[in-house]
Amino acid sequence: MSLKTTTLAVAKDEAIRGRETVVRRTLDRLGVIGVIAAVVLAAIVIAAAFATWLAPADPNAPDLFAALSGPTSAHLLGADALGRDILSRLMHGAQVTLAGPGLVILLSTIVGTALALVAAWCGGRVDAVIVWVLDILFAVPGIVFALIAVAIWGPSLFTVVCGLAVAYIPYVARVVRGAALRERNLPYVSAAWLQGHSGFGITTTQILRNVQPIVIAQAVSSLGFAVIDLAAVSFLGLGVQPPTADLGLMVKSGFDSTLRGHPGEAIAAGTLIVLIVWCVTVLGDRLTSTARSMS
Amino acid sequence: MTTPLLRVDDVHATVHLRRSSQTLLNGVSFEIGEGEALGLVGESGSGKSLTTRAITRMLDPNFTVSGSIEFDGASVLGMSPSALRRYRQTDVGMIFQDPRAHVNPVHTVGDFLTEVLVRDRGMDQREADRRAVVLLDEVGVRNPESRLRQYPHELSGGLLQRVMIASVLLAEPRLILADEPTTALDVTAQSDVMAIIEEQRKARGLSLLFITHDLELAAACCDRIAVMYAGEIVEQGAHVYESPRHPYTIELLGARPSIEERVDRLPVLTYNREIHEQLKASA
Amino acid sequence: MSFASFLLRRSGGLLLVLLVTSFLVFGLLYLAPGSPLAFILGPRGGTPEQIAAVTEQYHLNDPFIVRYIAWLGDLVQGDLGRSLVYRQPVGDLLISRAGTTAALVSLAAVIIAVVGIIAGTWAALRGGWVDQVVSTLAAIGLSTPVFVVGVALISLFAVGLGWFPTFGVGTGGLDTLWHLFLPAVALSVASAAYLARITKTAVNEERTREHVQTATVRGLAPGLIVRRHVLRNALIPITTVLGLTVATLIAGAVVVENVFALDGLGSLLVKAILQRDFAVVQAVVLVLVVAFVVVNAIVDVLYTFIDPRISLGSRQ
Repeated sequence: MSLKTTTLAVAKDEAIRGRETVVRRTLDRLGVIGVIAAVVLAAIVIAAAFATWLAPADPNAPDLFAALSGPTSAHLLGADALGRDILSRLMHGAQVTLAGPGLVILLSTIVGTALALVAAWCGGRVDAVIVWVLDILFAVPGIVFALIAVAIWGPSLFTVVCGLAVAYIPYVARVVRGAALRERNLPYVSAAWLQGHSGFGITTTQILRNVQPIVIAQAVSSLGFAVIDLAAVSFLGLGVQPPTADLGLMVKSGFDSTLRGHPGEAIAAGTLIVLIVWCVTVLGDRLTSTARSMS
Repeated sequence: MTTPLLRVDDVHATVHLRRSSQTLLNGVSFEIGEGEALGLVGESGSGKSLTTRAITRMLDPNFTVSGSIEFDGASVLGMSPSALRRYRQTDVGMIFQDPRAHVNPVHTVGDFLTEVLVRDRGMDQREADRRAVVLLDEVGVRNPESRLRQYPHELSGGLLQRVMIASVLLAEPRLILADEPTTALDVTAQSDVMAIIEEQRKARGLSLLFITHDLELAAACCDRIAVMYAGEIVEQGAHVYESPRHPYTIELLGARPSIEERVDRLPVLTYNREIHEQLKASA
Repeated sequence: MSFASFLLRRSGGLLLVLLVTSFLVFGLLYLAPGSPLAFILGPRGGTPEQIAAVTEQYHLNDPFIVRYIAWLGDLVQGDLGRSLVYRQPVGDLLISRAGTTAALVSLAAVIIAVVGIIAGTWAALRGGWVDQVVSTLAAIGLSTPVFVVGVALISLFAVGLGWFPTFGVGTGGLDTLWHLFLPAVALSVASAAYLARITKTAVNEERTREHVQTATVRGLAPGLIVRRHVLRNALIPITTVLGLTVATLIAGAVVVENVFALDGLGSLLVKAILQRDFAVVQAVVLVLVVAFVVVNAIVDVLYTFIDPRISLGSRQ
C-alpha cells in the first residue's frame, strides 16, 4: 500500500471512531429512553413545523358528510364534529401547543435568570427584596396568573403566554439563584474581580456560562408544565380561540363528541399532549441529572 | 482447649462494582477468646471496618465473602435470617464511630435505648426504662431519667457515645465490636469513654474487638494486638509492640512522634504495596 | 420560638402578602383597556342606576389611593363587593361554593397521599420490576394534564361503564362523595405520580443512612426497621412535597370543576372571568392566596412534630 492510501485509511478510521464516541456519549448521557424521547419529540416538532405541507387535508375544511366518522382512508384518524380531518388538525394544533409554551419558557427564563443573577451577585438588600417578590409570585399558581391576565385583557393566546411567563419566573429564578450563589462563592470569581473585571462582566460571561446547564435543564423541565397549563387554559375556552387548531381546544370539542359517543378526537388530541409532555419531561430529567453531576 | 468465642479463618471479601472487582480482605485470620480484648490497628483503608462488618454480616450486597467466621462454634456466614437476627441481638454488640450519624434523630434517647427490649423482646416499657436508667448511670451519665426524654441533638458527642455504649450493654452481648469509638470525640471525652468501655468489659467479662488507628490506645486496653495492612493481618500477638517482627509493624511503631524528642521531620513510612507483595512472594 | 409568637409572625406575613396581592389585584382593574366603568359594565353598557351603583361601589370619582383604601376598608369589614352577574354579595357566593371546592381538594389530597406514598415506598423497597412499573406509570401520570384525565375518566367510567355520575355534586353526604370521586381522581393523578417519585427517592436515601445500620446490627425485625427508621425519617421530604402539592391542588380544581360541572370556587372564577365580574375575580384570587399561605404554615407546624431538630419558626 502506498503512503497516501495508508494515510487516507488511517484518517477514515479515525473519523469513524470520532463519530462513534459522539454517539456513545449522547447515548450515555440520555440513556435509551432519553434517545427515544428525543427522536419522538423531533418527529412531532418536524410534523408540526411543516404541517402546512405535510398535512393530508386542510385543517379548517369542514366536510359534514364525514362528521364524527372513525378512521378511514380519507381521514386517517377520523373526523371531528364538523367533519374536519383530525390528523391535519393535530399537526397544526401541535404548532400552537409547542410554540406557545416555548415562548412562555423563553420569556420566563430570560427574566428569571436575569433577576436571579442580579440577586446572587448583589446580595444583601437587593437579594432580600428580589427573594421576597419571588415568594409572592410563588403564592399564585400558573393557571390563576393566566386567568387573571385573561380577565383583564380578554382571552387570547398572547395574553395567556404573558400570564404564564410571569408565573413561571420564580421557578426559574429560584434554581438559577441557588446555582449562581454557589458559583459566586468560588475562588475564580474573586480572582476575576481582583483583576478589575466589572460585576456585570463577570456575571454575564463567567457565572452565566457555568450556570447554563442548569438553566437549560430547568427550562426543558418547565416546558412540560407550560404545555399542560396552556392546553388547560385553552380547554377552558380562555386561551386560543377557534377556529385556530389547538390540542387543548380539540380535547374540549372532542369532549363534546365523546359525550355523544365518539371519543376519537379527544383520544387523539389527549394522547398527543401526553406524548409531547412525556418526551419533554424525560429529556428535562436527563438534562437535570447531567447538570447536577457536572456541578 | 476451649473453643474461642470468635474465630475468623481465612476470610476473603471481594466487592463487585459495575466494571471491576476488588478483593478488599485478603485472608484475614484471628481468634478472640472469652473475656479477651483484641486490638485491630492499621492505617485507613487497611480493612479494619470491613472486618467488623463481615463479622456481623453487614457488608453491602455487592460483596462476596469466603472463608469461615465462627461464633461459639456456629458459622456466622451460614446462618439463617432468624438465627442471624438472634445473633445480632444477643451475642454481638457494635459501637460505632460517629454517634451523631448512627442514632436516629427523630426518636428520643429513651426510645433508642429500649427499642429492642420493648418491641422485639416484648418487655414492659417501664421495666425497660428502669434498666436503661441503671445502665446510663453505670456509664456515667448524670440525670439519667431526664435523658430518656431528650432527643439526640440535645446531647453532646461524648454523651451520645456513652448512650450508644449503654445501649450495647443493655443487650448483654458476649462480644463487643468497637469501631474507632473515640475518634469523633475530643480528647477529654475520649479518655472518659475508653475508661467506661474498659471498666464495663472487665466487670462483665466481655470480649472486645477494638478497632483503632491509635496505637497507644490499643496497647492500653487490649490483651493482644493484630496489625492490618492491605486487607491482611501481617502480625498479631501479645508482645507486638515490645518485639515487632514484621517490617510494616516496625515502621509503624517507629513513626510515632515522641513527646520527649524534637525532630526536624516526622518519619515517613516507606512500606508500600510493592514491598508487601514481594514479601508475600518470598515467604 | 413559642407557638404564640410563631402564629403572630406568620399572621403578619400573611397580612403583608395579602396587602400586596390585594393592591396588585385592585390595580389590575385599572390596567384594563378602556375606562374602568366601561370595563366593569362591559359591552352591555348600563342603565343610569347601574352606572351610579358601580361608580359608588368602586369609588370611581375618587383618586386611586382613596379607592384602594375604601376597598380595603370594605374588605376588612367582610364586604367583598357585589357580583354584577349574580346580584348577590360576593361573600355569600364564596361561602356557598367554598364547601364543594374544599371537599374536592380534601378528597384529592387523601388519594394523593395514600397512593403516592404507598406506590413510592413499594417501588423503593421491592425494586426490580415493581420499581420499573411504578416509574413508568408515574412518568406517564406526570405528563397527563388534569383535564385529559378528567375527560378520559368520564368517557370510560361515566359514559362508557356508567359506574359514576358525569356531572354535578349530588345531594350531599355519600351521594356527594360518589359524585366527587371521579373529579378527585382526575385532580390527583399528576400529583400522586410526583409524590410517588419523591417518596421513592426519599426512601431509597434513608435506607442507606447510618442509623438504619445501627438498627440492623441490633437485630431489629426488618418490618420494624422499615417503619420506624426508614419511612419515619423519609416523612420530612415527603411532607414538604405534600404541602406544596395541596397548595397547587387549589389551582387544578379550577379546571376539574369546569370539566365535571361542579359549582365550586374554580368554576365560579372561570365564569366570573368570562363575564367580567371583577369583584368576584378579586375575591376568589384573595381566597386562593390565603389558602396557599395557610397550608404552608400548617406544613411548617407539622415539620416540628416530624423532626424534633426543627424548632418552630426556623425553616430549613
